[in-house]
Amino acid sequence: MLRTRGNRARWVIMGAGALVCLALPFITGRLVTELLTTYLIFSLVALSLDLIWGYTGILSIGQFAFFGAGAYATALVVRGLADMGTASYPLAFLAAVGIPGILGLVVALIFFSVNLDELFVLVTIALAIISEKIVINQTELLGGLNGLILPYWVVPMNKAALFYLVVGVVVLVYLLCRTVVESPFGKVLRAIKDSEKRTQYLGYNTRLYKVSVYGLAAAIAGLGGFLYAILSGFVAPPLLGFALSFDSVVWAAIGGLGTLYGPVAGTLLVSWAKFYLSGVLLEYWLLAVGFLFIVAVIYFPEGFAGVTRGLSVRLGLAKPTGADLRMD
Amino acid sequence: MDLEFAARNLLNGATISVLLILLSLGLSVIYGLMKMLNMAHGEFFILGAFSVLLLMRLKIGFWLGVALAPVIMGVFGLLVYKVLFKSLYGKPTATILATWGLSMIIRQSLQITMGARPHVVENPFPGAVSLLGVQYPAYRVFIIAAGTLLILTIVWLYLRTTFGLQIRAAIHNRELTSALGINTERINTFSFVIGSALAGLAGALLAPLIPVGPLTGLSYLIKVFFVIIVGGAGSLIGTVVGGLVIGGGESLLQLFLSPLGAEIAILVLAVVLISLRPSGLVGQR
Repeated sequence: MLRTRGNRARWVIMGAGALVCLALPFITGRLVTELLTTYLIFSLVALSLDLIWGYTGILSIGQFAFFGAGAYATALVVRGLADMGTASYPLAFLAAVGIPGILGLVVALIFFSVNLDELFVLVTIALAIISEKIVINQTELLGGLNGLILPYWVVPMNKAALFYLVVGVVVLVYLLCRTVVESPFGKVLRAIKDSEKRTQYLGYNTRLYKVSVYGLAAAIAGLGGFLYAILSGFVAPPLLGFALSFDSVVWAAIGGLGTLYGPVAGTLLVSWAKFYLSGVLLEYWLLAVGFLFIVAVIYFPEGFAGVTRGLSVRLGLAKPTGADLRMD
Repeated sequence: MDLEFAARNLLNGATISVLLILLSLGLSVIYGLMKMLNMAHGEFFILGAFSVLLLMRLKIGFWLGVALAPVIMGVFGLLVYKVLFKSLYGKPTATILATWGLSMIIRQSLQITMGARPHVVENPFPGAVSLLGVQYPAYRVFIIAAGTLLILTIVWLYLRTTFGLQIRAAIHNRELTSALGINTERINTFSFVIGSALAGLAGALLAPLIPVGPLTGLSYLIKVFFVIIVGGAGSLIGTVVGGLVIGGGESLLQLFLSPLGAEIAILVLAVVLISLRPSGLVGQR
């Protein structure tokens, strides 16, 4: 590896980030730690969205359906086993990752066999809405509007430890996604984003690639749901609804698509701003978000990551590259 | 099965279908022309209803309000087109995001100025009439009749006038139409304005039947999108068929299922139809 100025700067930033993460639970209070943990868990959804949207060009406004599926799977398994007097995280983990992953594969297998183009977005919106309605309708098994509460002795009390765990998981998932997008598989994904037809002419079965990456993204979102259920000890229908799904699109777009770190930063930034500003601006907050969102989409299509990248190129910390990822 | 219940459901289905078709027509043509989805279309609809509500507070009466609402929404549509839509041309994803931002702004402005709780617009025909052996609200009967007439008029204009022909030509092949000397930019603008006015008119007409609140528009949006895809995006006849399938289907399913169950079933049905015929029931792509 070359020891360039940019490389050294990267190590410095990573080291500083690790130190900040380690120290945070001691500096801030319990509430802030819990909020940050929640946002970090949400950032997994933004990461998964970047895989399918930023790298493959498939917009999904229903990604939280998979997150919610993971959360509900966790709640069901943990509650079922708690009746027998045991807490089994490994089994809940498998269910929370496996069920959304399989769901994602099934949805992708059905809808990527037909050419829907951007209308696929509507299918994903329907996914979020249908799953929320099904859960609300299922009062017996899924608790309906009241949601499900996990047994108190299953929920870990040490929030700092949970924070470290979530930081670790996010870093691991980030590295996994980084490996995926830089592998030959990831190159094909980018080719599909540029032109699916041309990729097909080159002999690639693009459907197979799209189905795999969609399933992987769904599993990652499900993992987020698993962590959320464990952290909060409570799952409810809004977790798989349309509102959070659209929020995740905002996080990814504001953060910067096709960078992986951008959507994570975007999630933390936007959620944090929402927490602070909604207290100050009250109902004007959403108005401001609407305006900001339009401005961001039209004038900064590369998001936060694009802006910082432009800055670091100017400061000589990064090399400029020709083909930056665009939104469309 | 109870015949009276069935007749009532049939009439409900007709009301919902007419509402959905009126809401979808403009959006469908805009999508066909520009391949851009307007996520704020539901808010355009509810703004039409709010126009009537506010105009009635000025004591100008319901019917004048209904006549003015499409004008107001047409002007609003023109503004949105010039300020927002034109700069998003050729970017379908960015359009979805930016128009969602717009819909947030409209929803939140309504909530701040008019409050979160839905308003009620007074029914101009409070009585009931006897139809198919049931007592059915007179205003709903009026909506079915007037709506059907309006839809038929629009379809006729689309199929039988030069401007309609130009729209169809532009949907079919934009470059070629433009090469023939037809101003496709003007067609886009007009279609967007007419589509917005139509949404406003639908909102104004439906105002006495629905809760007029900031979130009402959003609740119709998804169904409208499904009407468009099920029928075939960009095809006016397809949109009418789609509206009948979704609106009629939901009322039909309510004969066997709970209202929520019927709603879930119709969304699933729409998704299945889309996967079977991605270009729509009437589409020829």
